[in-house]
Amino acid sequence: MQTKTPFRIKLRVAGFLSFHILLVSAAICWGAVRFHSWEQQKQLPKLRLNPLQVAPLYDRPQIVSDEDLARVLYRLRPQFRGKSPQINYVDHALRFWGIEATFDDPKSLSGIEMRDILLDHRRFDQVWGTEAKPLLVQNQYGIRPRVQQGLATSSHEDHTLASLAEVGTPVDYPIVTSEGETTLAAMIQESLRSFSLNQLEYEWSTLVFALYLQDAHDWMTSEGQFVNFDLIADRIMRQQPTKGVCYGNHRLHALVMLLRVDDQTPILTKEGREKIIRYLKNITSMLVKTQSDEGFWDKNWDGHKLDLSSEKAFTPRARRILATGHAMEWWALAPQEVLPPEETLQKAGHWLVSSIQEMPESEIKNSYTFLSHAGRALALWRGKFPSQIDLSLQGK
Amino acid sequence: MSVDSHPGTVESLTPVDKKRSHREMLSMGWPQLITCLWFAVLFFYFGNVHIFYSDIWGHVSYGDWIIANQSLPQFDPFLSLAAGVPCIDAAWLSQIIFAKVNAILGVRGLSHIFALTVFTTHVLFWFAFYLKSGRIGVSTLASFLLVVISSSRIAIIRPEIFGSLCVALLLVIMAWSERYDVFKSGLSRTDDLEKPQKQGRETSVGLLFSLYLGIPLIFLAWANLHGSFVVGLAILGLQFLGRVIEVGWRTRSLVQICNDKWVRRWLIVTELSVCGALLNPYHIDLFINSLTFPRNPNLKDVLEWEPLEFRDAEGIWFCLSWVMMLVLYRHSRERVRTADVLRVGLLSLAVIVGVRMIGWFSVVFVYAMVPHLANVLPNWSQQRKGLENAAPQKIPFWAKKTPVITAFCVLILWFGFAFSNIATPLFGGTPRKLDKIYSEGTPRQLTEFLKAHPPEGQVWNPQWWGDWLVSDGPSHMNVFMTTNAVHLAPPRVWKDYLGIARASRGWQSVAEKYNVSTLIVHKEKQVKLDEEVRRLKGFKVVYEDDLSVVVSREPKLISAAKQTKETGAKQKVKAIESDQVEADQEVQP
Repeated sequence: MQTKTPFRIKLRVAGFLSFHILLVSAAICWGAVRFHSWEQQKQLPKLRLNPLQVAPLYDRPQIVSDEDLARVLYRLRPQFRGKSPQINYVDHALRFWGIEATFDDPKSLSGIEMRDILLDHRRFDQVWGTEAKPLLVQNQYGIRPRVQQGLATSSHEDHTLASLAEVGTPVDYPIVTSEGETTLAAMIQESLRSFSLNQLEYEWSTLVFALYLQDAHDWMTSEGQFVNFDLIADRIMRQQPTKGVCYGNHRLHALVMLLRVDDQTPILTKEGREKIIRYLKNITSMLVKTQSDEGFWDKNWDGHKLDLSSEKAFTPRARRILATGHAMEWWALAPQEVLPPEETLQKAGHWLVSSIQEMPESEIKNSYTFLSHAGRALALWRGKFPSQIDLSLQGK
Repeated sequence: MSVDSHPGTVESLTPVDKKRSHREMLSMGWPQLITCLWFAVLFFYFGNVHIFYSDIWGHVSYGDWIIANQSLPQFDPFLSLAAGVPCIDAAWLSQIIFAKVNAILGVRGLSHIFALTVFTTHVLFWFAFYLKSGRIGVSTLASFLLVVISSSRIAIIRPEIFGSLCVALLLVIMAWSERYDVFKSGLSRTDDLEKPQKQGRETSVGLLFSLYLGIPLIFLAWANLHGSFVVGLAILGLQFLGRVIEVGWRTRSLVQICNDKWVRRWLIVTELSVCGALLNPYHIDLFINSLTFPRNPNLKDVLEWEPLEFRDAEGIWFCLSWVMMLVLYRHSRERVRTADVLRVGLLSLAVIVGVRMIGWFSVVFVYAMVPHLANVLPNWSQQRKGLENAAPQKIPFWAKKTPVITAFCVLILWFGFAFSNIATPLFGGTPRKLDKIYSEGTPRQLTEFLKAHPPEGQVWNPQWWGDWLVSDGPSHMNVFMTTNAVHLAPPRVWKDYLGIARASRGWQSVAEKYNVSTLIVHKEKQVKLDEEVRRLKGFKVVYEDDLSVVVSREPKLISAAKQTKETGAKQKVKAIESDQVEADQEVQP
């Protein structure tokens, strides 16, 4: 027979239950709050609307004269109009010429056209056809361009994005993928989320972060590692000088860009900055020692014996333009204290000018990517971006 | 019935009976002898276990670091490649203990602390089993089963040994409480709710102290000693849940559940234990860390975190355990406790997911099976009592108790202790040789070389030697990986480490990415890498012994190797010459 439970008992039980439920809930809430704050650590840093601009610092006609510069740049116009332009050429050309670039030459693409090929899938479709895989793809972290998967893809990790940053593309710039429309911010966030301090190519990612990040606070990568620009700089300086893409020169360029961004908004600690400057000074003195009589450097710019066992793609001239053009580019943006003597720069500049002028058209076509660095370097040494150089008198 | 013949009456003993009583008091049977033998063997074994070359040295280094810096590390202090990865040091107290013992007593001290801790743990386990079964032989059998099932994890010195000690203490208190925590079937009347419950016997004050103070204190220590305290909380929480289910199943009444004395007790004890565990430097973050730790992607490649393989030794023992459990449940008349089923179920799942959990599974499994073992196995002592009253001469050999066996027991225990390494400082004698303490794979000569010629750049090393290299190698050596920091290394670093360790295609460029200037290779375990590093361009073999080979491109190391080689060659020539002189002298009259 069931009997009714007295109210007093019920009250006691209710009190007991309420107290313990409250206690357990409090513990769970505390755990949830802490877990949430753990997750908050993984939040991406804020982006600035417009990327920072790093302007040239010097105007040295002794390195390249106005006439020579115009002649060289004229040879390096982005003549990629037509079907299937190599994407790595397009993004290098965009970085080289900038968004403002326009050409009288009908074969050459303007800066805006190049940006459209990279960021608008409809335009990409027009030039590459519907059979080609889209350049911009969605992955677990967001939108990213495909890299090193053929001619319709970019050649370096985050190079496309870095090029867009260097030419001043704002983060809210609309991009059209095969799946819909978004903004450039989605690409930058993808780069931040997928970034690993120990990835193979990190130089262009560094540049993207330096130009787009609003503040210099540490942020957590998806690997659970807090990173900042000091740590990234250490990573860049970790490898032997010539190791890395383009004989290690992208790393030096990234370091210079960090210094220049740091001049505008502090992103490095005092020690971090000093470390970079010391490193670049050492590199400069190494380059001064190893410069050839003609003025160029080769793959072995660190003074080691030239090893061509893994070097089949490039001719000697191409290798030298690659090494010399890149070095001249990062020096053109570097602070005075890491520059070599004027003589070194002049010799290198003259060698670049004469070599590019001597190059047959076919070689220019094949070596466009690193010629873009050389061309940009020469313009920067005149204190201008390439699009600011008047080419109207050339070719007439 | 006469008063004299009443079984409950205390009769006056005659001198003969008194003599017999003393004799009986001093008499022991075969179960006691086997138990003594078992513990003597265990003590001897634990005292002779080698100190493994892997993570213990990482813990010692961490302990040293904590003592030196008077703070807990925020990031791994020894792995530069893990810079910026937040570190929660769940075993900080164990590490300090290890570091202190190592500083005061050296490696022998570490060996002793391991032996004493693990031995005490097993004695406590045995005691918990005895409290549950009331039978010495069954408890010893259970202890043996526990050792067998967890055999793969028993002989490694690491902070987990303190976790095992804590769980053993917990089980002793739980087993003690289970003598009182007996649920009577049948519905209680509502009138009974207001009266104190009479379930089982009246709980002793000692037990109440142990429950409300002892267990929370265990968790306070446990949470600071090792991250396994969450397993302990699960064991305790399931005790509460099991009791709730048992009461709820019988009574179908929330009021009854809430009013049950032991439901309340286990709930309060669990809550107090959680509070105890929260008294750690990281507070609730330690809980989150312990729960999310197994999700670390790097652990997928670590053998002990891999899922259970049924063909491995652990898998076989796990399957046999389940078969045994089913057989015991089929034949035992003992009641199956819900908490035991829940615990065995949970830990079984944990073992299937990560084989590392086999140690914890073995504990809860054997603890759950002990009453059923006692129920199924024949009870010689009861038979003996029955036979003693009827015809003492008919007592079988196995049920006999004599003072001779007691003497043997004492002798065995004495020998077990006297011949152990721990007894050496007390009784004198030659201390155990260091070669016998360090495990064979400890690269001791290698670290001597490295201390004499410290590498300056990034060193690539086998992960299992990383901790030793940090502990015994030159200070500030930049090691690539340590066992202690596998979970702290960014996943890409870990993958790259594995790529080099397996000499996967293109490993050279991966090593180049980290600017590795010196590579240390375990010759026996990394045969392919051993072959390939010798052919590595720009690198030279700078050191080699039976265990390891070191190649480097650092000029200092290369010139040091050259010098060592030349000195070695000169010494060899000198030795040959002196041998010849001696030989000549022997020949001459």
